[in-house]
Amino acid sequence: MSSYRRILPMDKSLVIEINNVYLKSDRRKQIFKNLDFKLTQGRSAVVYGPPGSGKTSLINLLLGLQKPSSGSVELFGENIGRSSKMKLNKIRRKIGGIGGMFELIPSLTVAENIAYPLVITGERSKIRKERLLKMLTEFSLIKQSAELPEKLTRVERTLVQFARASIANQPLLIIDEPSAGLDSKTFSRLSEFLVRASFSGRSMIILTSEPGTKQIPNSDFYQLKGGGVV
Amino acid sequence: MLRNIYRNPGTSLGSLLSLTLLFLLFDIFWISADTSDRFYSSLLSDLQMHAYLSESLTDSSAALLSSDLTEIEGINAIQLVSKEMARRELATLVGTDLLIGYDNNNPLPRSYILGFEPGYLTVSKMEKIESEIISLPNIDKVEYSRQWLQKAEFTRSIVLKIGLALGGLIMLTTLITFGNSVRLMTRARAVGFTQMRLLGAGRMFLAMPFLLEGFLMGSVSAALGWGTIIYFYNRIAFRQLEIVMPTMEEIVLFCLAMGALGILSGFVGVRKLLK
Repeated sequence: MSSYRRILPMDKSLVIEINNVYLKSDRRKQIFKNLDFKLTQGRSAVVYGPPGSGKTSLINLLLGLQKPSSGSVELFGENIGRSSKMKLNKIRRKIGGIGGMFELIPSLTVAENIAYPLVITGERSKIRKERLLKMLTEFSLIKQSAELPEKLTRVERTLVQFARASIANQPLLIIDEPSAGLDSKTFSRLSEFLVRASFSGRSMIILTSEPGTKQIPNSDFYQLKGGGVV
Repeated sequence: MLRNIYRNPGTSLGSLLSLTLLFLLFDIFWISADTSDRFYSSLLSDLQMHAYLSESLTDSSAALLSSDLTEIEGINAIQLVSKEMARRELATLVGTDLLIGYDNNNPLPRSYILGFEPGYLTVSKMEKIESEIISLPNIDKVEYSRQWLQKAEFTRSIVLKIGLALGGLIMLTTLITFGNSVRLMTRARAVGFTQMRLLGAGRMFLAMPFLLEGFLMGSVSAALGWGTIIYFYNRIAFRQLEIVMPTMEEIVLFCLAMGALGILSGFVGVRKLLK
């Protein structure tokens, strides 16, 4: 385990802090009731919830796409609901997303999709190229680098998402249904990536509807139930 | 931005060509307006006013009157036409046969022919000068081509109004044309933009390529329009008419202004994206 390089310092600051959140859907259905959730830097959470339990709503809350009716959602110490658009953008740059909500940008090639987080942060071209090459090699995407997403298989798209979520060493990963559409070999390979990410100090929140999802090191298991997290 | 143009060459070329044609139309009108304005100015510069002197005025008093006339604002030339000079001029026009019997009795009055500074060759200013002259003693009558001047001024004003209307219409069409093509592009890429926002891209970061493309479209189209005109101007000999072309500085400024208009239309197109 000591061969894993730690990217981020292991401190105890909270990455995610959800306090007493109430959330209703557009149809007035109560999604969350008195939701409390905390995630410390370096720790991970596997959140299990059957379909319709609010996993997507939780992601929406974390990304600032939905505001709670009451309560607060804080990421990296910033209250998402009260942040300006500029601050919200800065917070989003610290998040790497994998899954249905984080589809690839259709008009960009694989290489451009992967490098996009570095483009937004204004990283120098030389470093961008170096990291891009590293990601393309690590996820075996060299051949597909000039392709548009529409030409990729489901597995390849997922690999690109993983690469994009790693290139900027984003301190928080949000992973929505990690095993969806993947064969066991690919999922096993990507699980290794998740383990490495965990040991490098990155925090992860993995949302899944499969109760058998393996836990990863430094992680806690939660369940969405009755509008809250248990 | 260049990637947008490279991946959508048809759309970009279509926008470029349509804008170039619009600007070409505007440029042709600009040249026509300047040329006709120069033509009118050259005609107006020949405009003269005749101030006819009363018979009873002595030569010495006429000389004093000349200095009074020179002091009137706008008059920059004055020439006395004596009775004899007037008779000779009339003989040149109608022949000497009609003037038999008027050898000893010349009824033609003396007059002053007045020339004016270019800025005073307008109907209102000429009328003001006329009223000042007629108020002087020993001036019987003042004559000038008032109707011609009114028509010339009216025509000039019409050309200017048409130019402004055409210019405004072309600018508005440019704004709408390019703005719409940008709006269509952003709509086609709505999913992509949503994903970019989720990754933390700011609104100006997303809009900037479109604004730059707008600048490029506007300035390059304007330059192409002028390039076409200059190319043909240098190859066609205009013997009968002196074509007035804008200076290179004016052309460059125009291209930059159209670039700014392109930025504005790009902004109109991405407005929804910026919300």
